[in-house]
Amino acid sequence: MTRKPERLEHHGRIDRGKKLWFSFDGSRLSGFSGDTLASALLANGKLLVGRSFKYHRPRGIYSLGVDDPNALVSLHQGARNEPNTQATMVDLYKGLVARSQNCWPSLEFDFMTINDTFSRFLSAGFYYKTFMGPTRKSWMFYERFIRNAAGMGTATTLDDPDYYEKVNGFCDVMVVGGGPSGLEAAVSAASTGARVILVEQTGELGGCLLNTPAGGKADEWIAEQLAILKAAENVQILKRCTVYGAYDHGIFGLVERVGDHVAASDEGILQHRMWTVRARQTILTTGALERPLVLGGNDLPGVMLANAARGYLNNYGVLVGRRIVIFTNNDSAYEAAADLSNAGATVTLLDARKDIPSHAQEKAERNGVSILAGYAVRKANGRKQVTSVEISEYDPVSGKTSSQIQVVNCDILCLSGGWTPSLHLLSQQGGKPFYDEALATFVPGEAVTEGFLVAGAANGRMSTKSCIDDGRAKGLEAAGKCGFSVGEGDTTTTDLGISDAWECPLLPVWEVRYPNGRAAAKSFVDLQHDVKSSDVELAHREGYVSVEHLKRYTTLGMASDQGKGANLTALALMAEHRNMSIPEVGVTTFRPPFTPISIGALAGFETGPNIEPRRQTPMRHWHLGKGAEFIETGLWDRAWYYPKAGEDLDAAYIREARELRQGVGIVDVSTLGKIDVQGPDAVEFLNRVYANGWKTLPIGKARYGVMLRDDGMVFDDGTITRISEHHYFMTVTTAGAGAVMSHLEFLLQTDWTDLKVDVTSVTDQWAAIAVSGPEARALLGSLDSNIDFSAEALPFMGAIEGTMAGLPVRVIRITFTGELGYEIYTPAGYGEALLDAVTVKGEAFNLSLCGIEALGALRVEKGHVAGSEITGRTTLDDLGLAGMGSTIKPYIGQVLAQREALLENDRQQFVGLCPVDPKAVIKGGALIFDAGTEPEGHGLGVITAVAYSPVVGSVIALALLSGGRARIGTTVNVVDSIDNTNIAAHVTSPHVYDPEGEKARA
Amino acid sequence: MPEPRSALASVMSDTIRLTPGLTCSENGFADLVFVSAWPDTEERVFGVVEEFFEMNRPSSYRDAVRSGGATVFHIAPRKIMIVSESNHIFQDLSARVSGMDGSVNELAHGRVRIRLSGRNARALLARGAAVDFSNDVFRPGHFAQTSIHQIPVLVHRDNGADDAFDIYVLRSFALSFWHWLEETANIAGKAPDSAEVLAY
Repeated sequence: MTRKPERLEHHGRIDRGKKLWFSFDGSRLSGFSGDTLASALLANGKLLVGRSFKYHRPRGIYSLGVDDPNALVSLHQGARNEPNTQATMVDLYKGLVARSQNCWPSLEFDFMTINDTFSRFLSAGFYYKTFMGPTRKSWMFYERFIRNAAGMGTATTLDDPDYYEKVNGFCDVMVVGGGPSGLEAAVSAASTGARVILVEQTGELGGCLLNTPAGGKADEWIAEQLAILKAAENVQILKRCTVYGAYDHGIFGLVERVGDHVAASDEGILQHRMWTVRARQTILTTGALERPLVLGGNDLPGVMLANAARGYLNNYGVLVGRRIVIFTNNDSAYEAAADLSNAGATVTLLDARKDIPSHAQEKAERNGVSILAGYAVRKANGRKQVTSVEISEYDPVSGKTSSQIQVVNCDILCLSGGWTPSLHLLSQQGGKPFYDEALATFVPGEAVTEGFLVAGAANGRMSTKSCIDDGRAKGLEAAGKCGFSVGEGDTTTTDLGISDAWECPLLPVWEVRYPNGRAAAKSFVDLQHDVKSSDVELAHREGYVSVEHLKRYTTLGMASDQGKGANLTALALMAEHRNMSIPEVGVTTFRPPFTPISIGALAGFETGPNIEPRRQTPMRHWHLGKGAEFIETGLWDRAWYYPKAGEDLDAAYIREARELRQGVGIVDVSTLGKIDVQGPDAVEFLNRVYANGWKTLPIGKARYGVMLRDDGMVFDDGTITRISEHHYFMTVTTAGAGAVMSHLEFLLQTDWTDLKVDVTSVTDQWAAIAVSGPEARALLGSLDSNIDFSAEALPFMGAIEGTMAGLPVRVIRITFTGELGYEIYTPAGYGEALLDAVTVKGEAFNLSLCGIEALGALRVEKGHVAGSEITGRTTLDDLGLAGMGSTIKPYIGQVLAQREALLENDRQQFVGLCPVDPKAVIKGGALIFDAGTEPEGHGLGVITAVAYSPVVGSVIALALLSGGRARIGTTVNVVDSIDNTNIAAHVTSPHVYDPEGEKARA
Repeated sequence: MPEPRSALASVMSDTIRLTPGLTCSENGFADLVFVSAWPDTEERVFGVVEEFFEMNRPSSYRDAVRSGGATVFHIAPRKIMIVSESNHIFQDLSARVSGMDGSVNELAHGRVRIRLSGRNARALLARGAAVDFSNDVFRPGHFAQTSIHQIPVLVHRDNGADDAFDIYVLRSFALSFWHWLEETANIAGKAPDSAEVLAY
């Protein structure tokens, strides 16, 4: 009769005064403050906590921390549902709700265990070989069934009600890991005055010392170190925080689980904090992970790591079983055996080594542990819990067991196959550890990456004393490298009374085999992904001999635990198959993250509407007061249209456009990019940057300009106004402003350092409105102003500075609508006052407030190019602007614009389109085909803009059309595959409205 | 002439307490100009500035110099930003700097200055910028040009006050930046141990 784990009365560091109720799969259970979910489940006798990924085999808690491959649970409910959480890493709190996953209808009776029955047919690569045919799309059909059959928990699609944030941290020395070496390293580094950040991934500092019996010297020492660190102003301690990534130049990514250990309130709490820490020196005191051993049934509930069993006893007061078999190949398991035996368990320890350490043997025997030297467990028996193990003598040379089998009944099988230093962060930064034969593992050695030091068990130190000594030395060394005065340091030897020094070398045991040389069928290497030792052999047989290929073929080392307990064993098995040494086979390079990161932590504040900042014009408040609807254009929020009662977008913008053409309208154009260009070489600079020339531009005049990229494509357009002898005011497109500014600064700082020119972005300094329409002059003339708006005083493309309504203004007579128009600039803080002044006077002129939609419609009628035509793939000639290119001066893009392919007649050219049926509605993005042909392929061109034209009385369009200008007067078909429409349209000039520009010059 | 309208007028009229130990207010100024020169005119142009404000120009890109009611920031090679607290300086400087020697640009309307103060000011800034704002590193007078929530900002530690920082933001981003400030302070306060974690 097997016994379940049980809570003992006098062990552990839990707070028995604080009882906590929680639930697992709907059962109400209790634990204590200080428990993890894993320890609480064990204390409630729950050995079976999950089902495996592929075969749905029953699985139990395997380890104490981040390396646990089995105990994956879903936490919380509804919008807070969090799948695939390691129960070993969850601090228990009152009301915690946890559920098993990947099972149906229940954890105890999972229908999909049928996969286990047929597991011999579901080996590595099975899916890829079987589900590829008969057609190319077959996989898409099979995939959903496969995903339903194998997998983990399910994420919620509901909005997360909790919060996440990001923060930057800086320090001289970051210590990663709060075990004995980490605590000592932090204390010694801090003692020099260095700024120290100590990071510990669990809720308690002490690391492996917490697995020793409570109340001893170790606890006193931890308390002393903590007191020193907490008193130091130059130390920051981050608990429940994992360094998940190491990046160049001492930059690290950390996630602090701020709110995971408390119940969330309805209004939400801060769950995770993403740290970006810049450290001058980093000490990895990340410890070492105990390795499992590969043998038959090594995944059954009740099989766990020896140190885990010890930790559950000494830290949480949970005795995992009354009859315990421990199978080991190293000295460390003897400590566990002694403690478990002392706590009341009957312990049998099997050591694969024939020569075993005398001190450990004495201690074990003193504590009633039965020892079998030169023995191995070759198979664990049981269904949902291990009930017995098959043991026999072990031959270390052949790795085989003898045919003489004994069956030992037990509740728990503990495994200890050695220790693997946790060097993931070092590996992420290119550190190449070397193989230590004595420890049968990779250690950092001397070849540590710049900026890193490694101490303690992560550095291959296998006793508490040596870890502390190493931590102290590395703490001082790191501080010294940061320039702090180190001195001799404290050389006092710290004796915690822990006799855990290794006396005998470890005996590598990678797989326990039967006398015939084969392992048991269900001998797992990677428990989380159900990869067996036979899968590794299969991969080798099929040619996947590189460790990187082995990983991808078998999925070994993937998933949430990233194979922390499996990788080295898999390497060793592959090395055996290839008759090579382990170092010759090589190691995989670890990549971030070390442990899973929540999407929320990655996103932080920047989600939903906060995903990027928004820009507002100086008149935003004014537009809101006028009932404007807004639209996002790039980062800007712009007034889109001003609906009157009953109007939708179309009705509003068509009215606004019509009113402007008939009288006068006003548009906020503050988003235009504005660049101030000053200096004695300014005109030379402009001549080089723009395709057209500027030497003849007089003071007080503006000119349209186009600039090209180096490759000859049109880059941006706008106007330049000459303010004074060496002072120009440049406007560029809203969308292109940032790129143009960078372009100009780059040229001045690198290519043309001899030019005396300064460029300054003044986009935010100026508010700007466009006033246009036949009545524009009359309206502006009615304002209190010292500016003469007559055509003689302020002709087309003229510019002047003065005051309007008492406000300083810069007025440029220029138009985007094709009407008589003025752009009026005033310092941004006066923008709304200017609008108020203009609109008050505008009442007499029936002034129309026009949004960006109406402005777009008016430009379509006028045929001006804009962002949808300046795509980076159009030339001056494509846009009908070939005449802009100067023939008497060089400019950027001039040479490459003459490339043969850019001069061909069938290039897509800028044209207008007018539907044959005035009621037909052409859609933006539709493709253009020859009339009478079947639409196929990309067609002759594309619709770049559409709008309803009150002037034409139908929707009209602008387009880029192959050989477009030669097609003017012909008919084409405009095909929209989304709406499934095919509309016949006449090809026209893009300039539908006032093609001669007489209105603008009025 | 009317008073210029603040970009933050709709959200901020007085000092706002964002969280315990953190207040925020718009910190207006009279004028803000950029002055630029070229390699062979740098001495002449910046000499004008030194004489005008009776100060020595900043020696680094990290330390602002305050004198005569103005603060001067060396923001780029041969380019300085001058913030005047109570006087309009653009016209005077323009008159003194020849267009052949350099340029003077008025940008007072294009920037908003927000003051963050209190013991948690550094903690909030650390949530936005990859700059070490710790007391010993980011000392009084220091400034940094960086970005917060993808918004370009200049952060200046007040020369006088211990935990006061002025943040210069482009006017068009001011509302978004304010939203970031408010939300970030709010989120930080959602931590179960917020009193501890806000300390920096």
